Amino acid sequence: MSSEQKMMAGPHINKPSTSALPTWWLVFSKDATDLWIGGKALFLVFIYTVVLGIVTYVINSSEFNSLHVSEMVYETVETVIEVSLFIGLIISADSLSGERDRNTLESLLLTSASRQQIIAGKFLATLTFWPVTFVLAIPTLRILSKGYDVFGQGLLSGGILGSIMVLVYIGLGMLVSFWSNTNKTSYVVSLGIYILFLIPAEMHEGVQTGMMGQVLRWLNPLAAVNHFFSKIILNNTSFSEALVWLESPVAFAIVILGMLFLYAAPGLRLEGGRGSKPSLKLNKNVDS
Amino acid sequence: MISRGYSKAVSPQPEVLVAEGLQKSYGARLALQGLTFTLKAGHILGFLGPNGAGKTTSIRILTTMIEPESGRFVVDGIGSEHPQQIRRKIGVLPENLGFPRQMTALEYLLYFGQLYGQTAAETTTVAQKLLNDVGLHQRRNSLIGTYGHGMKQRLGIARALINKPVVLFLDEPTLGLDPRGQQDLLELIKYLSRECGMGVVLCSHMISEIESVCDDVVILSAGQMVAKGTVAEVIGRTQQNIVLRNGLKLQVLPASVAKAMQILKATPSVTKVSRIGATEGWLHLELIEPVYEGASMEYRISNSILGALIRAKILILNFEVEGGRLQDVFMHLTEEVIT
Repeated sequence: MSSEQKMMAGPHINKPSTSALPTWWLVFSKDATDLWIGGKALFLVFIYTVVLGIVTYVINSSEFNSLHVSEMVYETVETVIEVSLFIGLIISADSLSGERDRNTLESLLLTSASRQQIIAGKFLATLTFWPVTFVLAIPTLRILSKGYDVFGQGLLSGGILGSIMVLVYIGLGMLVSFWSNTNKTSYVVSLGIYILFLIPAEMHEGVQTGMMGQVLRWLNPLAAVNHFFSKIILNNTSFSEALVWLESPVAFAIVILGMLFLYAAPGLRLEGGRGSKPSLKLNKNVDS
Repeated sequence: MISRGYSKAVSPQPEVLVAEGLQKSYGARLALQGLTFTLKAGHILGFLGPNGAGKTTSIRILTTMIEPESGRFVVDGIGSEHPQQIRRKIGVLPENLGFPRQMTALEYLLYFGQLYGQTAAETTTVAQKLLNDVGLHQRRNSLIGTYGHGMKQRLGIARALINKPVVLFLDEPTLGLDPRGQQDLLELIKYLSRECGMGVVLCSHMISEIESVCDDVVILSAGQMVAKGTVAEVIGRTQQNIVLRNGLKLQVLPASVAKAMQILKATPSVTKVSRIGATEGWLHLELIEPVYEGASMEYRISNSILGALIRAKILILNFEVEGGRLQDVFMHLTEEVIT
């Protein structure tokens, strides 16, 4: 038997090679390529730059000229994060239900690849848009901050807060996509979640007053992040004093990612939702 | 068409797929009940059944995509409680397979080969060969988005073979292929089974396809397994119930029709002879009801009829036992369950 024939001797050689690439990396590479070369991410980033441009123009316009530099940075970073979260949700909402719609999930699930690694690869591929949108915002922030220290502060806090929230929203989007049988359902539910968190976060602080108002703002990760950021940038509160407002976003991130990777991912299946745990009534008459 | 690069299976043929008592329901509807069969290496098993019979449910259970409520199956010695290990051993062409439009065929196979844990170098060699086998080598670097349905179907088969499976599941593999493509594919399936020792489960609506390539057949109807065994066994077992209802058809030269009718009417096992059409020379024969003495009884009747015509030097152009084909068996069995 020639070496080629040995290799093709199918039924007898199908063990994974030790020097093979990990599944998460393969899925990440393919999905990131699809996302960027396919044009979806580029289109969304284009929309993002248009929105960022409009916001910058409006902030710089005569009507808002009275805004302090730190307020301008605050408004811009808030916009960058909120629009980025929208993009993250749109991309992640398509990650699994989209594959179900396009009939490509089955072939992926039919491989011996680990479900958790498939989810990890898709999660990381979706995440690739965030560094791009964040970097694109830097020139705008630089111009608006007019050389003040608030530029560095805004960039650092915005980067940290944005990263935490992007993890939460991508995780949420993927969970919704995991449970949805169609993309339409996934998009509608994700958009609903986005609006549910966004509207209270955009409300004037005067609306959410009293103990209940504070608790509601603390519970809403987006509102909590905005509040934390305003304290750091606008009120010059120390990081440790404002830290309480980071608790809920971090807790959300841990819970959402835990649900995604530890609960949902092992049960990833063809139909939406989590598969039932193995409960086969084993028949001992069948030889194994 | 098909290059020879696989190794020949070693005899004796082991059982590569054993299913016992598989059951699945969706809500109150029982989709599959008591599916039990075995598939040997080097054999092709045909899955037949009308729409909604439970074929896709069976395939999805056996390919670990859904779990059965009860029952168990074993693939090449690995029990169904180890789905990930089973997936290493099987290749599947699902009924509705989607493809990424932005990848080339070669990239697509490389991706899946690596997902099975192969190195890029290993997968490249296998992928090139498979693309050659399915006739896509010339278009290996074209985007899949530019492929027609038949080409995608062939690529799907190449993908199903990328991990060198022990058992191959093909759900409607010839759907959308032109006649040449269908023939080539059936040849490939036979080759994979006979020469490479793969066990093949072939799901198809085309009964002639099943009849021509399959060694064994499972017929499903309304979630129940109504027949199983070799194609000949299934036909033989069912024939006793349906052959007499339909009788025989034979064709002689139009000039010999009158003489043939005279001889056939005088044959003891024939109760009625009638012409089918005016000019073609086709005759329909109704036969006496034989005392069943095993599958050979029908053949004895047929032989006596043919013998009488041959002795009279009448040229027989065509001869067909009604109810003696898988198509008839299928219609009979599925009708029985539905009624």
